[in-house]
Amino acid sequence: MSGPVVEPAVVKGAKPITCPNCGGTVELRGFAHTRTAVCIQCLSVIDATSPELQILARFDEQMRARPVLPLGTRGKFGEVPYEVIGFQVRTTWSDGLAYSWHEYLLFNPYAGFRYLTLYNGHWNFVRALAGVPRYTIEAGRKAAVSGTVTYRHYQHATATTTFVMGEFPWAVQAGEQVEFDDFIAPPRVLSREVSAGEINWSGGDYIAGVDVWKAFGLAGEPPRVDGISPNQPSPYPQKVRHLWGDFLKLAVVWLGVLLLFNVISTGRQFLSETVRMTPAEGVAAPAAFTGSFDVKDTESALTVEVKATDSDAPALQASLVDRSTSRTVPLGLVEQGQKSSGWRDEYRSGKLAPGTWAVRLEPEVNEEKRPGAYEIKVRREAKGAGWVWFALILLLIPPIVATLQASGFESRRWSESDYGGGS
Amino acid sequence: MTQRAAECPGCGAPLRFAWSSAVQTACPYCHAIIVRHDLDLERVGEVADLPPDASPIQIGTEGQFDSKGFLVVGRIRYAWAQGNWNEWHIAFNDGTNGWLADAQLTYAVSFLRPNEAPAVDPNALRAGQVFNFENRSYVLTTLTTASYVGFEGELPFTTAGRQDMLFADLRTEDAHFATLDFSDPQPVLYLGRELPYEELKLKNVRLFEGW
Repeated sequence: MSGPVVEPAVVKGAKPITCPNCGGTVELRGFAHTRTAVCIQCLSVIDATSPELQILARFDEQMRARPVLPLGTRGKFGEVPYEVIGFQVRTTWSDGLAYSWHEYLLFNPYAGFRYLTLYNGHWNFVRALAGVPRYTIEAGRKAAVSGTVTYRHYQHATATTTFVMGEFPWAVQAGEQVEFDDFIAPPRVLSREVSAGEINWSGGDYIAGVDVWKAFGLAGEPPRVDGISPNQPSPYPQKVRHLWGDFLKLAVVWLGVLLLFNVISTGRQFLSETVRMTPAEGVAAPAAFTGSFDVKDTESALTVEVKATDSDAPALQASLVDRSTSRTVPLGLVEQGQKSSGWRDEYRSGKLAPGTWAVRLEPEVNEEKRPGAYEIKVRREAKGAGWVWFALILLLIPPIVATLQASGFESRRWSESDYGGGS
Repeated sequence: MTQRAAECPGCGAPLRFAWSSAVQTACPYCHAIIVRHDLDLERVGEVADLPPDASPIQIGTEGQFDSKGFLVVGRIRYAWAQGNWNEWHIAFNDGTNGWLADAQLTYAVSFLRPNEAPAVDPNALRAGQVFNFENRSYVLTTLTTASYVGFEGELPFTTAGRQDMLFADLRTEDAHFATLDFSDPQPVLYLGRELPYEELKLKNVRLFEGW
């Protein structure tokens, strides 16, 4: 490119103007962009575009508000410095209650104009949108699409300018009203403003008060945060994700513990034997005994299974006998099953002392006439691991609580919208 | 880019064209408005000084659009009810030209699309109407009645006889930008894109006192 060499021209700052009403000095920071400027002393809105300095409006002294970002302060946002040159208070009324927020007009002579909005300690960094969002429906409600993001409609309201200070590149009117719609996709918000037939879309990013304070290098604390703002990012989704992640990790560990435990505490078989009982002619078969088995440590709740392979096999009564003392220990019948191919009884023992034991089988009185073959098994069942499952349920509590909190946050977020359940 | 030298028909000073296809320019010495007819230069009037503005752009500012370098060679200034804006005439290395609009420090680069303007009655235009240009859907956002304030530098057409004119601005969802210019009986279409200041990579911009 072989353009002419150009010495950059320097644009001089605009000279302060004198308020035609009170004679006060009104500083101008927006160069030739400024169309209206407000006299800080008498709140006259002055037309700064013509030398006559016509007064366009005057704000009521009673409405005077104090900007928390002083006019003329500069702050950096993404490496670009911006100067606060305008301040306005906007108010919307709902059910007889006034809700007011601050809007700070930021200016950079190259990058242009931006806004910072402040409501209940919540801030948004706002710029005009270059594109026009497209409407859609999301979950049965109005929504707007910009880029790849879908923003859900939050509210429709009318905002009235109730106080201004500083200067603006547009004509400020006292009591100017705009209708606006907010669409949210936290931490972003889209706003559509309609005034005098003109439609303006802007996009805002939620920004923490401390970050605003840092950007402007201000001392002290930013205004206290109150409640939840429409596009405030929820702290919970991340927490919920982390807690569910932790839960999954712990669940895997517990599963490992469970498996290990099962390996250690596997059941053991003490006896497996087939016993035949053959009645003599017309005489009941006597009680039969299985072979003996050794119990080395004290055992409780051994399972004794008696299985007949023929469904006609006579019913039996089983008990345990201590071979060394011949003492009989009754068994509790816990399960009975009948199939076409036979039947099955399962007994459970009480506590057994170490020693040599056998199973005693006695035919029921009225079943004595037929022979029968029985499979007898004595075993220790693997220990139940119910407590591990209980521990897992305990581990579920934190992620579930956080999930509920997250949903509570969303309900509160939407409670002040047009779709809120309450007022 | 050729720099053709010629003489001002008003004062005889040497005139250099930064853009070879320029149709109108102003003599930097005697402020004559000069219109070029092939090889002849005609003096058609005298430029008035443009009222001061606060655009960072000036004649000679260089920048980039879609990785192509451009040079600002001229501008037209328009005024409307709520202020004014500049249409900077930009010339690219390859001899093509375009426009860099600067309205309250929002920037859009656009290019003339000859014979693509729809045959619409400007009185029938309403905000919200949708038009399709080159496979994109544009929504009409603003109708602006503007007045021609003045020009400087080199332009691809003559501004003689310009007064009030209607512009229809249209936008897509993704910041593409269209203007229907009703300055002439046949509307003219410009297509382009709005982009943030830093993407233009401007050099030789004006400086601002205190910044």
